[in-house]
Amino acid sequence: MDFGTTGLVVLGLFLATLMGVAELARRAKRDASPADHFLAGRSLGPFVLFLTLYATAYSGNSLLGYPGSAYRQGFAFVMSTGFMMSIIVVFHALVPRLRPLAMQHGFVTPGDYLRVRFEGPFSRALRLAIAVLMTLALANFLLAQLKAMGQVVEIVTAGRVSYAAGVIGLAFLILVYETRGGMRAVAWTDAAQGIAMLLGLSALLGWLLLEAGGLESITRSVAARRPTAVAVPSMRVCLNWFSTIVLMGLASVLYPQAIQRVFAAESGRALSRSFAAMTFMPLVTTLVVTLIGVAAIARFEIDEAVAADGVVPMLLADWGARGGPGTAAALVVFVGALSAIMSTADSCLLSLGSLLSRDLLGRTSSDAGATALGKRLAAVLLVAVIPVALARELTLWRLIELKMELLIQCVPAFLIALHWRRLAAGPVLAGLVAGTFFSVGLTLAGWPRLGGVHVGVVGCIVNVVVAVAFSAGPSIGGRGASTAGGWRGGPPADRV
Amino acid sequence: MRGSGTARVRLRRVCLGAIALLYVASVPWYRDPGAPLRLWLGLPDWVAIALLCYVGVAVLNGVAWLATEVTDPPGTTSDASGPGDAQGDGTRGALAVRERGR
Repeated sequence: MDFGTTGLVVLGLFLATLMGVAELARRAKRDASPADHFLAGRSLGPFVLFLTLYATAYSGNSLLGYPGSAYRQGFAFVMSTGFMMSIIVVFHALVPRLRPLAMQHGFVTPGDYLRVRFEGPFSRALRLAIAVLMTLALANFLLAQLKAMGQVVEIVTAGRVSYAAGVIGLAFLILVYETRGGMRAVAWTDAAQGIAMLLGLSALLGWLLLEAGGLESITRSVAARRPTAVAVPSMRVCLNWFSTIVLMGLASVLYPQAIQRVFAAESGRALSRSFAAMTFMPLVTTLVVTLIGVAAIARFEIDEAVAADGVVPMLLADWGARGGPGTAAALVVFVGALSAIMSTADSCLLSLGSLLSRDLLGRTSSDAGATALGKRLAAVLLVAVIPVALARELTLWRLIELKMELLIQCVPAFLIALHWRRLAAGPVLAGLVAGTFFSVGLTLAGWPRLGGVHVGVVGCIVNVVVAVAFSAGPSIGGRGASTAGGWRGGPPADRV
Repeated sequence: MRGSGTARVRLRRVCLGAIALLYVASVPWYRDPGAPLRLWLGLPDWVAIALLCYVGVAVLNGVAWLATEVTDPPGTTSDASGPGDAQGDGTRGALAVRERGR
């Protein structure tokens, strides 16, 4: 049996297993409420929480987009190890304050926090604006997962399943799977997926190192093939390096699905233990995919930027075509990669459903109807995103950057508002509008970076200045912190 | 992680401060872009330095998280059907009361 046929058989078995897990998760449901469907009844312990955080953080972007970017940029993309770690650092500013409030008020979505935190005439507009930004960012994230799924399936089945069929078929399966199992299905499958991904990537790197004769040999081959890939980066690249750490660190903690995992943990202790373990994962995941992308420079000549996103599937196909243990190992990586991509897409859909029904449409009731509405809206959005995924012009890395430049504009409403009670809805809304228009305007005008710094980061600075300056001045746009439900005084200051 | 609350807070702040310095040091501002390739640990030297900085960040951040106390308010439990949760919806406190009021 050749690699493409074996890949097709393994794909079928893998998808059948996913459907089985979704069915088990459906049977484990306690009720049809939003908290049970979207947060697994707030029951995630440290181990499952850690693995679901891991599998959700490392997605199609990490497994295909990051090696593709490392292939294009060379060793300078080692910055990715730093920026993935910065996310766990920035969570220090969010978790110790947000978690007690979430438990006290029963938050399900980020908008629930905004509803409690901000009062006054601009608070509803602020919630809607943030819900729109988060929905756009999540839809973009979903788009990146769909593109990644299409690429993996097309290459690993050796073209027997086309890119378009892969995108449409797997999107449909995800919809069925997510709708039936909810957060439990996502978390349970993430646990197994995380382990498969870790084993698979380590095996792939081991094979590359063995084939090339060690790390030094790879570095010398890359230097001979493309000297710029090993050269000391210019000041512009250094600025971009630092800007990317800031952009990814600040924006990634505001992913709705990340915030919802803070709400879904069984305890605060489970959260801190999970984050303590998560901080090491970039060293065994992001660093590995970066080295895989760099090592591919010495093996393949890919001219087109978008095609570079396919380096991992190309390596897998190359490895698997050699037969024997190589085929089996390549298939482990393939299953790990695909499951990681699907689990992230699945988390996006789950978050989108809750975000659309509760935060955008204001359906905050706790009945089964609200859950069903969330599922229907997520399905509509998924169908709308598929045609965009079929167009392949944008690189996965550019999609990541665009999403982060939107999400980072939510920083004042969460990261500053949790620490500064005077921050009011009107100024935060004004800052958000200013920062978003600045970033989107310059991006559309063909200026995605200013001297290497992302326009989203500059827009965020504009945003923060506006929000803080107007909040510090005479009161406009309503009061800052709500005093509802014990917010007064907030959590003890020594926790942050 | 054991220790008094104040000691833990101090430890956490020291770790976060050191992490900030390591991030600044990880970016190769200090090297001339035209410098010839020098290998260390099988990698270009500036890459190896960046990675060592990130290993340091991981260790310090791990310590900082273990020193972080994330407390849940009294009366809230991990059980979705806890007190004040008559509908079994996992929502509690003010939000649950408000929802039931609708």
